[in-house]
Amino acid sequence: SSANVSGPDAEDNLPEWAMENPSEVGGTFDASGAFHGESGDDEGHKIENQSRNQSD
Amino acid sequence: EPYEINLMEELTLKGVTQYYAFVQERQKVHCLNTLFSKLQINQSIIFCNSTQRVELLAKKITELGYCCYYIHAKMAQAHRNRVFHDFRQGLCRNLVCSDLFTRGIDVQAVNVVINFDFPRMAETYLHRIGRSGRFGHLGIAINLITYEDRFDLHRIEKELGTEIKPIPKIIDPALYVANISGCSGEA
Repeated sequence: SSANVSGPDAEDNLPEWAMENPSEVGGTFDASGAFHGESGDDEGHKIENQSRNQSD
Repeated sequence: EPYEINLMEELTLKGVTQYYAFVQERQKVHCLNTLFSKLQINQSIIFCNSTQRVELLAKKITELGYCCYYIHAKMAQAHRNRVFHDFRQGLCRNLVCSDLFTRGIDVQAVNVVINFDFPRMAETYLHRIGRSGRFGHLGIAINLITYEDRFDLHRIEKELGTEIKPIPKIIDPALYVANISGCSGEA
């Protein structure tokens, strides 16, 4: 299912998250509901990944 | 026997525990990945605010190794119907979509709804999260809220007279996993 975005300025109107490479390490949520993704600013404990291919 | 086609049942948020997570736009996929690893998802529907974002997000989720279908308003109706039929049959765990449900989600197996993009209108929010039927549905809804969404969040809460709480570190499975709570998925 490739995204149908092409052309020279395609890169410009992509959302920021589309250009990020989501790190494998899970993030965490603090008491205010804020998400902390960088391991630098949170406990950054590794979340064991559930089985990834969940198609059953 | 006449076949009733438009019952227009009231949509309700009853039974659906609603949370929000504050997130920066660029961290949304990382946050979604964290939710996938923390939650016991039976089936999930993930909403985006544009057809382009639906396709981009579905691609990202697939790259992360999760099974994922997508449908949006620019797809041919027949194609949408076939994908949704397969999703309803349980052939895939996650469905990314734009705003297509006008009478709420009638897939009992969906126990997690994620607003990857928060809607602007209370009506849209209700159609995404709400369920038809007096008892509503056991499940959770998680809203990814950016700095720009914060006023919409509070306004929609007021308009719908509902409560959307900060997402806790651990979510009680009894709130959204049917066999744990011992009931048949009704609130």
